[in-house]
Amino acid sequence: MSFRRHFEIHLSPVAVRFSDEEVKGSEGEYRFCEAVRLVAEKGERIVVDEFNLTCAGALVSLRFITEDGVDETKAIVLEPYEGQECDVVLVVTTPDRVMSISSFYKKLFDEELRAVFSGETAVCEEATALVREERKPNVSFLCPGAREFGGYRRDEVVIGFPHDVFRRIELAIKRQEIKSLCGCLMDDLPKELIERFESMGFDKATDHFMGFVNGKSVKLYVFKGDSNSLGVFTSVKFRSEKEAERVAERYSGNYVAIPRENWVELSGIVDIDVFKDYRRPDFEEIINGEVERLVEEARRLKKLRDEA
Amino acid sequence: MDLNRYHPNNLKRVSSGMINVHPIQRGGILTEEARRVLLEWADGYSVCDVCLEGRVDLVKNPPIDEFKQDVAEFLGMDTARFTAGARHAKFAIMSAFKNGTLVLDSLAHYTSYIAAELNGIRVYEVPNSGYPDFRIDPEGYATTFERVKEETGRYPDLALLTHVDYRYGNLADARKVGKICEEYEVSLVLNTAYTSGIMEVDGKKLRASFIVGSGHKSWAATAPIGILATNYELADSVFRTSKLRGDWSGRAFTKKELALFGCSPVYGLPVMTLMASFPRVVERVKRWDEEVEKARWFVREMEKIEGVELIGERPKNHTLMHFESPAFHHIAKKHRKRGYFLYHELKKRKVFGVQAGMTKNFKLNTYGLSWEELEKVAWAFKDIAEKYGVEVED
Repeated sequence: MSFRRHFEIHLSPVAVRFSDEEVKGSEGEYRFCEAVRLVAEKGERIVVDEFNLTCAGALVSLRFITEDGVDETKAIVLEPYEGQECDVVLVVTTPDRVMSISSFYKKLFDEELRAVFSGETAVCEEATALVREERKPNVSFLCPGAREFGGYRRDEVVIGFPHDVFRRIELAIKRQEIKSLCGCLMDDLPKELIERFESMGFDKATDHFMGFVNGKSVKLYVFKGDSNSLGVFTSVKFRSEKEAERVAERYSGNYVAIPRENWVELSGIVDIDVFKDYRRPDFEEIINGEVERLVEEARRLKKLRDEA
Repeated sequence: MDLNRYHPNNLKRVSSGMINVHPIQRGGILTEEARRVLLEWADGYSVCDVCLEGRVDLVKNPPIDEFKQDVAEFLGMDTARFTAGARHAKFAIMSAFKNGTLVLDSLAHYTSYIAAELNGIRVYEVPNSGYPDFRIDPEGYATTFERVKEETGRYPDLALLTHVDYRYGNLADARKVGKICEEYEVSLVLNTAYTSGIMEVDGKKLRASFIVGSGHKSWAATAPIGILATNYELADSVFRTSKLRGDWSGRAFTKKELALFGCSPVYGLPVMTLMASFPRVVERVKRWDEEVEKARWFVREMEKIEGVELIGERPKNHTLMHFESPAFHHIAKKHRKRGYFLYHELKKRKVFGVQAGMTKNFKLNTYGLSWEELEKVAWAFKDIAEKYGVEVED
């Protein structure tokens, strides 16, 4: 599947190839941004050079004209992107699509998609020349030239990608490297809270967190309500339902022991408001202390078996 | 376009030849009788050859008209319709309560929420008990009804209970919830996607106003087909017919039931396989106790693997089960296949259906497995555990 199809982009991505040799320019006169929009929409091939390019800003930013007089760029070939070699790939799209693209980009490269923009020389410099030079993608919010003469819609912006980055994204799409899950949210726990528990070695399970402490499996569960307190749980297995019941009956410690068939669920409440207190510096210490005590108690519970 | 990918030779089912314990698959496996009607009734509108009344539920040949009444009777209700899945049934019901309020259990399927949203209905949840049982306390319905009254000035228009939820396979106490709903005079929708068709469900006894079922999940039918059964009192509003008239042509469609899109889209194999499987379904629900016995045996076997523990209610009252498996999760962290190792290892042992990538916790469904198949599945898990050095009790 292509980039365009994956992100449902309404226009074709545009391949931008710089040439330091003469290539016959297309008939007519163009602003660079206008030519890009035409290629994206109509699927034409347009070659711009210093004679048919009418925007001074673009002539400079695309290095048709340089201060030292050495004109590096002789022509730029613009074509609908179909996997051909090029320097930059330009994507004309809308902010909601940029959101999806940036999320994908972050997952793939573990860095944010940046937007460096100034409202001037946008498509030519911010999305093309800068991207080619720095080898990093960039989002541009266009400039007055593009908005007034380039044929861009009000809700359109441009992202420029170095070709290798764009190709890597397409490969990831093809290989389905970035899994898009169902999008269902199963709780409203803050991301930072989940990360906090994860950093403590507790992975998010379905409605709770799960971890290993001193060889025992321990679960944490946030009791939502007025207090948002935290339940800590561990379970001890017995040989039979009867044995589990007897042990639970005999137990007289600080925790709650509930028989569940041949298991006894041992649990305690940490009296904190998880949503408020997870930022506290001693949060980890409080939880770990409680968990360690619970695990220790679970070992004692196991020993009660012999007395039961 | 690579049209070759659609060639029958390239359309092989990934689970072919394996024991499939996928939570949503077990109750939908076709009966021998349903397989026998497949080719005969496979064409598009196959059941519409002799449609005189313009609605699929009124077709006499094949006997869909009678079949719908048999289905209603089987569920202890007055009348029934076939829908494009249980989700459509819920949508149809809620369309009669537009912009009202709904109380539902916090383990409900997402389609219950979507149906409400699509009808502008405000949703209030009945909490569950949390780890490790995640039970729905029937009294929670009364409490939530009172909360709705406090907030809106009136009791809710509708309540929905998920008879067995898809997350933990807990069997809710429908009888108690039904009684509470009756006391409050709130119509109860019982979502039996995981129950009717595999265990006995009697809407009258449970005091349900609506029974929603899933043919492809629990009635051995080809997807998509759902069941909506209700009593005559409510049928008029849910199965209300079209009142619209074209202002220029004068056309009107007076027999078409609005919420069922005029004529429910189940015109071929869905309704025919449901029908062909029905006699077996009627008979198989009587053997539910044995299914529960097998499920409980399987839980015991699975829990012989170090750290594997059932979550959700105990003892198990349904064949859909949810296990926690810290040991497998531990292996996954170091395995080059990561979370996919369990899926692959099970496939090697001809067991399919545990979601790829899941090791921390996973769900499966044992419904309809023979003892021999069940033993194979339990062996597969134990064998994998032993392979990776996880202790397994003798």
